[in-house]
Amino acid sequence: MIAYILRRLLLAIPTLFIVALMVFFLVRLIPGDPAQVMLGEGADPAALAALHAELGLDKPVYVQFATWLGHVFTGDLGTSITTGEPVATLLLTRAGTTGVVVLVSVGLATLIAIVAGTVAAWRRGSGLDLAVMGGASLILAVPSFWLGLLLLLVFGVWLRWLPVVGYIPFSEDPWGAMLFLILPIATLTISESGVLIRMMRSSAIDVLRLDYVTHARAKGLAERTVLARHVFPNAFAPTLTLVGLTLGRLFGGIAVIETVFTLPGLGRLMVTGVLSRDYPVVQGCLLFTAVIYVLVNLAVDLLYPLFDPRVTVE
Amino acid sequence: MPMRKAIAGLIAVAAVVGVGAALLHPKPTTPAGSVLRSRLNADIASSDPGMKRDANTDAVLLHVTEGLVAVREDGSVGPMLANSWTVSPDGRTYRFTLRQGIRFHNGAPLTSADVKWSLDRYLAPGSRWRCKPDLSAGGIAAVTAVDTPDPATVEIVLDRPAPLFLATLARVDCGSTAITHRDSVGPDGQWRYPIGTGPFRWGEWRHNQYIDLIRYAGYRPLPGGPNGNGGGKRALVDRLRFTVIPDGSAASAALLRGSLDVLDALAPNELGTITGAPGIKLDSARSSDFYGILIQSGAPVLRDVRMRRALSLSLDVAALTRVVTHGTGVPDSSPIPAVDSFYGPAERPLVKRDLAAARALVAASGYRGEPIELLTSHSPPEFYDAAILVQAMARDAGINIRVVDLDWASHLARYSSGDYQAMMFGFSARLDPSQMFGVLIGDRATDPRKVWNSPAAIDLLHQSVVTGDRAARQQVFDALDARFRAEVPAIALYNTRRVTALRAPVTGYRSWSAQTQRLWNVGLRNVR
Repeated sequence: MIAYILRRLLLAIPTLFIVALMVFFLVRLIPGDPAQVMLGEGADPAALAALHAELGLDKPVYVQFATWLGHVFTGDLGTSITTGEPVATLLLTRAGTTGVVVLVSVGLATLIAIVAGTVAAWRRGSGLDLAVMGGASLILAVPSFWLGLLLLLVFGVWLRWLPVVGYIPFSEDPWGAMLFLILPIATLTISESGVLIRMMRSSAIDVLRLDYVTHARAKGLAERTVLARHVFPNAFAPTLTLVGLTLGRLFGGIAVIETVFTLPGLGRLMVTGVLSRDYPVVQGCLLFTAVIYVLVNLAVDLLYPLFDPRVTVE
Repeated sequence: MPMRKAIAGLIAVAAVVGVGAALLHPKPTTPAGSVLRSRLNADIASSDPGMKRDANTDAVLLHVTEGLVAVREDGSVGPMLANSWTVSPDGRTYRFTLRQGIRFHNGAPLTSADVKWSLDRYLAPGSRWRCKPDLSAGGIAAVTAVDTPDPATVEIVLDRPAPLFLATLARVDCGSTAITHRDSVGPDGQWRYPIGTGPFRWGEWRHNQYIDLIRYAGYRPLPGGPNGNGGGKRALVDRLRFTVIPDGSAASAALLRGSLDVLDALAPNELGTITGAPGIKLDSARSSDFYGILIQSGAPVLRDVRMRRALSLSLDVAALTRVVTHGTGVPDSSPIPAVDSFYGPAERPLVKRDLAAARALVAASGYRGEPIELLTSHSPPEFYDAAILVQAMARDAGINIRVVDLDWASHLARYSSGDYQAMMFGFSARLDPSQMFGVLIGDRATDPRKVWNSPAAIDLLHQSVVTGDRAARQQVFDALDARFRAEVPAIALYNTRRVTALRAPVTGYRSWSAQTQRLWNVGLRNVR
């Protein structure tokens, strides 16, 4: 097992190097100048040139890349051009917020998908199945930002149950922090549950057709036991793959949710970085997201044998 | 069983991440006392006045720092840290007498040495101070010396007379030439945070979340009421919190919910949500800004002045303004803002839509329908709407506009390089017409941002800054306006109206043409 994990991690190094290379050069292909964005439309050309020199942007791109990569190997992801903060620190603080929202949301969405998808498959063709599938399709059709604003309007403005903007860290007020996170988590949970429900239902239908399920029923096992012990583990494996991909995607991609709910997360950090052409921040965010992808996929692969005994870690 | 394991695993991972997030976040101070909460649509660029800045940065720092002089409500210049000043007969030496009893936020008394330290820092080689080009060779006048004859007196010597010197010192985009204490800079020479003399002192800046300013108990206001950025300023709340809320809808929801007290620069498309809402009132003022189309007069097709005039004549400026600004803007065909005191009979007439004349000019120019690229972006969203309307209106005159939508950084890069045919663009408030014409006029060879490089315009702009006589300046601006309409280096469309939404308990808020939110002398009813 350990050898397998080490081999997977070693294989990730060339992947991450290619990601770093592509990210570095692609970011610089986007028109726009971080110094210009920082100094604004009235900036004096001499001031712009001075800031280019200060930020090292006057050096050839390959020199900038070599310098940056050298620092990355020592754990230094650079310094934000706009705030002057170390990118590694920014990533760690922001990833905490995003991590909580994403993991809890995907966890809840997965639970909803397991129950709703399995029940819909079990009662395939019934009114219940129709309702579940209709709901899942509706969720897929609704943009997450719109849903977020709707929840914000209903629970924040009309009912006044929950705060609408801002964020309190857990360290300051755990209960308050939870209140601020309820709406973003609810939005993301609902948004992500649609596709997971459909996947779970589809997999469960396939499994319910198999002979061993018929055999289990013939043995006289209760339907609940059949579903939990024989259908769920085999039907969940494809959904688990999707859960892994979803986690990787969301770690770098809940900028819209974070913007609507003013959460200081990774996605908002990246969007702000892109808009202000803060190259070190964008590079750091994308590299971090790539690392998360690699780790999540590794974790999913390691979890696979738990659900499907036919799969072994080699 | 596997389901239970999976659930337990998910909960465990979420708990671990939650605890990790809790440990990673530094523990902030807990706000206490009365708090006035306002919104910023983006984080500030720095805490260093006039150095690394944008409009949000200027607005926040004006509560913390002050300069020798300050711009008044009517655009004139009044005292701030300087009690009075004299100008030498040759117009080159300004002698300022500092107000007595002023102390910085760290308790140190304000002296002429602090003024010299601040000015030397602004004018040092490598400084990025916004007004450095204006007060260096090639600007309105170069500062050749800053002398301190005694602790209460500062003398600033210029290389030539400059009637706009005081107005330049007071410029908001130059941080009002803030006088800060030298401890604002650390031993390593790096800027730490502003230690100023304003009614609020620097509190906490959590990037992309909020900036807290705290009431300065030792503030010594000028007598009388507030006036522009000067006058008798007072902190009426214990704390100001500027919360960064990029999304306009979320900001509106926060105001309606009571999570914000002041929502400044309300986007026109959010007006419908806010107007008439219970417990919300609106305050507004016309802005001294410029929104229009910049034209590269050396670019294909538009190098022909007939095509530029045709484009201008094809536009119904009043209708465009009404639609784009949701009825809040003021149509204006002059670069001089309609609210400016120099906006007179010569500047007032709008360029009327005349499709017959536009078509005749198009025909005379030999234009064959080649596409003209009009760059735009969504910063602000009205840019895009205006570009689409311009495209539709120009089509009626036979002009083929292709709208190119960019993000703001790309838009700004194209503006800076001059690499475009035409673009939607806006300039924030300028309180003197010379400043507004100055962003348009100049030598394109050395500064590609300039769109108007005719020698006559450059000469007129120079005349506008070397005389302080109001009548003479009015004549110069009238001449510049007439040339602007004839040469069409840009098409002026409208000035915005800055709308601020306030919760009912907020008292004393005053919008003004300089567009910055001023939260001194603003209180909360039922709060001490």
